[in-house]
Amino acid sequence: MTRIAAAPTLSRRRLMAAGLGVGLAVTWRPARALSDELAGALRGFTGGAPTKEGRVNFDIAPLVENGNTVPITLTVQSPMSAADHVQAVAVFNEKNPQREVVSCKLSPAMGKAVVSTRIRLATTQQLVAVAKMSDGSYWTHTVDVVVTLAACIE
Amino acid sequence: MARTLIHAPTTARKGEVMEIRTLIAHPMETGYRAGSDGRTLPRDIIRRFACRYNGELVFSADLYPAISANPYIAFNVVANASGSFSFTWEGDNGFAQTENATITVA
Amino acid sequence: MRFRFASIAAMFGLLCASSVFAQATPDKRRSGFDTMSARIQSMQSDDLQNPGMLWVADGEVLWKKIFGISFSCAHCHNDAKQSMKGVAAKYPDWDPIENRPVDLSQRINLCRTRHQLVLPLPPESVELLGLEAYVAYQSRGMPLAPSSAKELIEPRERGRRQYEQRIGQLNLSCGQCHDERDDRTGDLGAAAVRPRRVGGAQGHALDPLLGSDDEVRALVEVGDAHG
Repeated sequence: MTRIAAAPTLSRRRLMAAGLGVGLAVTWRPARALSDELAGALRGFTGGAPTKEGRVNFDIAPLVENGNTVPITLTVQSPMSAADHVQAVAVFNEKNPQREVVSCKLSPAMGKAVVSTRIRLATTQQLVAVAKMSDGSYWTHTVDVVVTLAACIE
Repeated sequence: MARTLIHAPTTARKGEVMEIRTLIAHPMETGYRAGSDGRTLPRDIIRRFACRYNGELVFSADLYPAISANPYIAFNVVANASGSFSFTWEGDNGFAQTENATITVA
Repeated sequence: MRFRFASIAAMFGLLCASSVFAQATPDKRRSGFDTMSARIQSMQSDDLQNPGMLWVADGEVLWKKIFGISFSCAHCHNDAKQSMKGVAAKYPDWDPIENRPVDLSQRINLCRTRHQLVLPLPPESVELLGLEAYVAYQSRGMPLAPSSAKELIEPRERGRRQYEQRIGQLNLSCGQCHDERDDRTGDLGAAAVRPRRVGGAQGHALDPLLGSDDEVRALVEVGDAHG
């Protein structure tokens, strides 16, 4: 049932992980390549523009006891000035009945690009947070979450 | 009128980044669940949340069924002038609610 | 709402007061709060994030509401912060007029029918849950203080037997899941598969799975209100 990631990406990341391994927590796992559904949803948001991993931190528990109410916090590194700020941030999922979770429009008047909410997760899956910057670049953070109690469909 | 709980500071220093936290009572029925009779319960969610500071749109969010019931949304706003916040929630079945809060900026 | 459990002193006092408790044992009662993960604990403790607080806010408004041509809760009970402090912690309690145990929501409805002379609120309705949450909120953080009314002994025994009775296709009793953590090893889930002692129903000391007498009593309160 688990999707098998593209092998070269995985082993390269595993090598990096081994090198950095000493200081890292035991539960650190490299992110898999995005599944097709997620990649499609992401394309809808970015309009096909290239995305880079980084600058966005998608804070979510790796193990979720109750998928009905999962706290998440999206933090984007940005000065939030008129010249350089986050314009939008969105979250997409892999295995809920529909891909979209939330899509926010931000402005420099916020001062800090930090948004928190609570979401539903139907099952163990991959999630991606994507931020669109004022300079047109897109940044993502992908996470894998294990869900014990399903939401959405029950 | 759904019950809301809003945490927005009433006073702030100019330039201070304030944290705004909102909670509103709403079932956020996903439209994927079956009722006790086996038929799918129709979708009934809040679709949009917006925060205006002295009339200017500061933050807005499009919500989908994946947002938990009783949606909790927290974000930041820079205090620049005294005035008021207006928080609006809009959703299915004509759901529309607005709450206001005043702010004094020193 | 969670009620954090007693200090040893309070528990000792309760033990001395009631002839039902055989000995003064240190209070091993534990709130379900302690078994939650840190994230869920912080979500519950944060009043802005805990959705239950929406119902408490509802209840605060309903406390002062005049239903029909009657009067409000506040008319007799004034400020709930004083009058309702500690009240929720002793429910289910014995009601001499109904001649049965009643839980907090039933007590609120009895107040409505007997004193406010209005119809009872439907069970689990938003209004009743709001009032119940608001009244319970006034006992926040206080230990459970079960009533020592002698009439409650028999309903508690019935509750305990129901709690321990294996039922259904999976042949599980309430205790096998809800007393989930093995007190000896801290192993979560071990309890669900450990078999009960054979012949356990005949005047036995409690299966260690279920902990002390006091723990089970605190946990079977839920059975009382159903008679």
